[in-house]
Amino acid sequence: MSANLPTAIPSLSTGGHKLTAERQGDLMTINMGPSHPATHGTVKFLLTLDGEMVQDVDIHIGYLHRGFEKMSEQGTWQQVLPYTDRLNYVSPLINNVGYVLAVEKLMGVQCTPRTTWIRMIISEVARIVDHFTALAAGALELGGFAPFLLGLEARETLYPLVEELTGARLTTSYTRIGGLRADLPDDYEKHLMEGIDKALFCLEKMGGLLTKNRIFYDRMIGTGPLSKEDAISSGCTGVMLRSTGVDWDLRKHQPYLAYDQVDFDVIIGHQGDNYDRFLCRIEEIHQSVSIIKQCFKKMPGGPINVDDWHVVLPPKHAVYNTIEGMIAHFKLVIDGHGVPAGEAYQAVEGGNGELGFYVVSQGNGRPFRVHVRAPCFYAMGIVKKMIVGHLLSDIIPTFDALNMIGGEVDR
Amino acid sequence: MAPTLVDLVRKQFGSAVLGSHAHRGDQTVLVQRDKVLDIMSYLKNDPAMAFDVLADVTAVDYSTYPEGARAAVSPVDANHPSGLTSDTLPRYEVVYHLLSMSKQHRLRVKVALAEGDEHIPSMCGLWIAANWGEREAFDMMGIQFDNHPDLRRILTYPEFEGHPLRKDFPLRGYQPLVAQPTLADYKDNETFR
Amino acid sequence: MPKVTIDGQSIEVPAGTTVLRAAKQLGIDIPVFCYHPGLSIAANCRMCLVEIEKSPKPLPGCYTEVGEGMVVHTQTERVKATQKAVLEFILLNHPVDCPICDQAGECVLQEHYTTYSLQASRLMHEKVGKPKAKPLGPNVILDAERCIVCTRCVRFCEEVTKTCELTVESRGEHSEITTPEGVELNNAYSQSVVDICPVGALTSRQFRFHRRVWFLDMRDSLCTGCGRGCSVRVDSHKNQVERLVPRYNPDVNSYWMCDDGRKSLDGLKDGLTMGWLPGPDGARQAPAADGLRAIGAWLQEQKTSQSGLGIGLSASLSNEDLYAWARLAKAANAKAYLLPRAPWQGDSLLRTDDRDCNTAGAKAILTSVLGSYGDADALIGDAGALEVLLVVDHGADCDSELREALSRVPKVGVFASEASEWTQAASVVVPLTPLQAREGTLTNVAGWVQRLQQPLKPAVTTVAAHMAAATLAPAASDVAMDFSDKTRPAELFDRLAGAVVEFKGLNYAEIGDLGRHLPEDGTLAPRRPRVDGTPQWEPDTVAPTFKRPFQLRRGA
Repeated sequence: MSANLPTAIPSLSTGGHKLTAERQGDLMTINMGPSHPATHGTVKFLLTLDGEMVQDVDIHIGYLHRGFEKMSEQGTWQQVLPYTDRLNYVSPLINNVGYVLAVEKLMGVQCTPRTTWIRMIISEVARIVDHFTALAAGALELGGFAPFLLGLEARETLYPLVEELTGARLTTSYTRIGGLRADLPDDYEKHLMEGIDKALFCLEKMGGLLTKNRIFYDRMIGTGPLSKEDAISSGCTGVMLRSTGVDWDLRKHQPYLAYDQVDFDVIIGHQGDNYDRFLCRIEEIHQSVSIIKQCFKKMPGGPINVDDWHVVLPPKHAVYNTIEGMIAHFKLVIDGHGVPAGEAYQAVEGGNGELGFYVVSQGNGRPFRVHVRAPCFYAMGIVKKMIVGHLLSDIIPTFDALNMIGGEVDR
Repeated sequence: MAPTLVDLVRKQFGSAVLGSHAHRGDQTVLVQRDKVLDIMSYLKNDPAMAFDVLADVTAVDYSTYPEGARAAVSPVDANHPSGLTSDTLPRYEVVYHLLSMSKQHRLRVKVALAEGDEHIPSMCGLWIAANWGEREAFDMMGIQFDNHPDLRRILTYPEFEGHPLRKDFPLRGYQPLVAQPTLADYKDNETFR
Repeated sequence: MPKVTIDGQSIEVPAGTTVLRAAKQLGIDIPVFCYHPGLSIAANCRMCLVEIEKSPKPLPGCYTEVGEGMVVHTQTERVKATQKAVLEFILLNHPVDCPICDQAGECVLQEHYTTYSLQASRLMHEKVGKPKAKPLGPNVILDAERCIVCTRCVRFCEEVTKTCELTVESRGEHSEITTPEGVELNNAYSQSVVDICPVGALTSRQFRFHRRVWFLDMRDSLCTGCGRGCSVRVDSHKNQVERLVPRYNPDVNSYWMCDDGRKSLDGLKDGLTMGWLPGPDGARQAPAADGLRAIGAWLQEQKTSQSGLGIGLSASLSNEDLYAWARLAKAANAKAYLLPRAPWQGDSLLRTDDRDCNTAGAKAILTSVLGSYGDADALIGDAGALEVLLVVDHGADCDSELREALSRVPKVGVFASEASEWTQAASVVVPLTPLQAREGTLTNVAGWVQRLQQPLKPAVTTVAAHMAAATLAPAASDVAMDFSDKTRPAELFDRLAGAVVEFKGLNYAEIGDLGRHLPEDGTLAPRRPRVDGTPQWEPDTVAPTFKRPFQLRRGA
């Protein structure tokens, strides 16, 4: 460590312990990221270290900034949908659902009952996948390769089911304004429940490997502490917030779709550390499975699309064989949905918390403004407070338990 | 009927509220800039409001919005003492989405800002979330948040020119290429901090 | 004046006003197919049926004149049911052609169907087949299946061109637009029927299948084909002109324009982007800047030797160009010649004998700035005495006499936007920016000053004529000019308006989209007088307006 490294570090006041003047020369500034093997997410921590203790950190995001919001202003309302796949790319179905709910809210369109329930099912499947990914990657980055493989195997049992439903593993684009791309395939309930059973088997083994694993426990418990007040003030939602003991889940407290008609528990932690987040995720998977089962039980039949060619494309046989269907299709594709001028904000419970879409229409087929309130973005805003004053190695579990998704934070 | 959130804000702040709407159930107030800090502080601390979460901060550039349609998003009260109407509202709007977890209600607060005078007090003193939310609004839309402790670009890089979500930001063009910063840059240059 | 109530709003309108027009004044849209404000009223499409109290049946709004105390409803269930029924009827035999139809995207039928019906088809039978891609004349091709028999085209040929080439044959669902035996649709305005066709039945041979309309960059400008200067919209794609369509201007061209005008921009496709300079190994290609430098050297030399300088100007330059060149000629003591194009046969509708688009402006400006100027004959006579001759945008045909005269001038520089015999006779050629790629104003034959609005992007190697004059001015004379190559056409026009008495009082900003008339007896007309024969109502009140499907922007 040479003596010409920083002598005066700004904003040290946020640091954990005080440094004596003679030891300041020992501080080291290093980059962690943007491509660090132990972080799943492209982000840079500009760390100021005192030995292995984090004295200060500056978090640089934006490495995956693709101008989602600017792009959204260029196409039609429906053309924004494929972009939403790339927000939280681990649970794209929830993004699809959130976006169309926002546009439908602005249009004053109510989707059909069957679609409501199907959207809940796909949201929960996506949430399970999201949580599995977070758990598996988290385990891997702490050195647990077997749990990682188990988590990925669970995900791999579910991805083909997503593919069966939407035609794609990741770029789902399954929802449509006013409905869905297609109804559930034949026997989908059977396939899905079989897949979920396999995934739960993996989860059980994974939990068995981790939950009482001494090494894992030591690295997770007490690390990345977050207080209730900080979590609320910083806009943390989802698992981050619930791990601190705050009872808040949009599905329960501001229910959308038909979440008020299903029975599930909001899982909360008690001390807001990484271990709590880990347990919350495991338990939330079980709750999601329970919701999916209830959905299949309560889901009505009927059409999936609203019966209005202003909102949903006509059926293909009408498009190819009648001029009426052709014109309706043509105008909806070329001109876009006639969304009346106005603004709306719709929040859904995403994999990591409140995923909100703020949409502004200028009264025609093209969005005037689409803004995404990404849960990870606000959670990343408080990470500094969670890692300063702690060991460098604690960054890894903290960052994993937060489950930052670059596509969503950077847009 | 119980008074709505908007009614309560209006009662408390009178003409500081330019207008309001509840389109599709989203309660919205459009307020004047010089009172926004008071209003937000009231919204956070008043027990009837209790907006403990600043869910989102963003901004909208209305420069290309169709003429005469602004009333649909930002209605201004008839004969408001400020003399403003929906059609004469300035270019930008900063939009705050507030959420109260204890009361389980939401409110949207909007502040219109004129071109060339895109200044608004920072809410960092009230909510931690304002820090990154306002940095994003600054980066994307060029809104200056006064008294923000750390107003830097967040999604783009320090040398980036312009604010991409402004409507006059071109879709094609070049940005300056910058050399990979060295450690010395980090040490000496405040912009990297 | 009868007072009519439409959808609860009352308005007083002059007797004879139709319900449709009264409704339009109230901001109420009544859909139409067959109605066109520039044509007689046929009331055959029935799309504009409205309910009028005390009338047992719905009545066509385009035809029914308002009466005192009339109460009209345009939004009742009955009217909506009628509109749906009319659309169902019209669409009954309409082919499923949108993907291959040129009109798709700006089609009135599509608009009305999505706005007023969106009802699924109930047709159980085969559609009636009719001829497709049937040429009606050299420029217009008919797809009879798409036709809704609104007869706008028939009325156009009867009432506007009075040539009566089109007619409807057969009855009922077999009705078809056609030409009588041995007749073809070949009048000078034939493509106007394509513009007014509300569907894709009549298509232009030039534009057919060339470009989907939602890719077009649509910009207002002027036609430069003759002295009329019709208001047009230039539709281009990637800076290539795809078509010209007329733009409603009550004082100049009403709703129409001629077929030759539509072709007037064809030359732009292979216009000059590079000029040439004499070199040791023969001529070499050169951009405008190099050519200007070479000509500047000539002028520098000429300034000291005081030998003869001649400047030939075309009457197809903008007012600003002519003003700048006239000032240059004056300062350099040069002889100026106005070289008009050979006239063609005009007609009484729009086409003028004069093929130059700015003769009126050219004469006024040259007379005012220079006092006197010569013509092509004068140029032939003076050729022996000239040392340098600059020809700016050759208008006149370069006949053998002129060619011979040019060969007697030692230094000939030609500014041109396309190649011709003039450029072959020149030793230095400077590429000019075409009129449609720059701003400026033109004065038409009736004294209307209108703006070219730069619908195309100029090539960087070309130079606008007024900028060429401003660049050369310091070399040509020591007289200080009040403009430079940085002066925009708008400022130049305002200088011109201050200097030339015919333009006194005009300013660029006030010309607007529809133009202004030159002041008469020193005063500007306070309000625009109407041209006889055009319907007497506000511009664009009832003219079919096409919503652009996209917010179109200039391509790369």
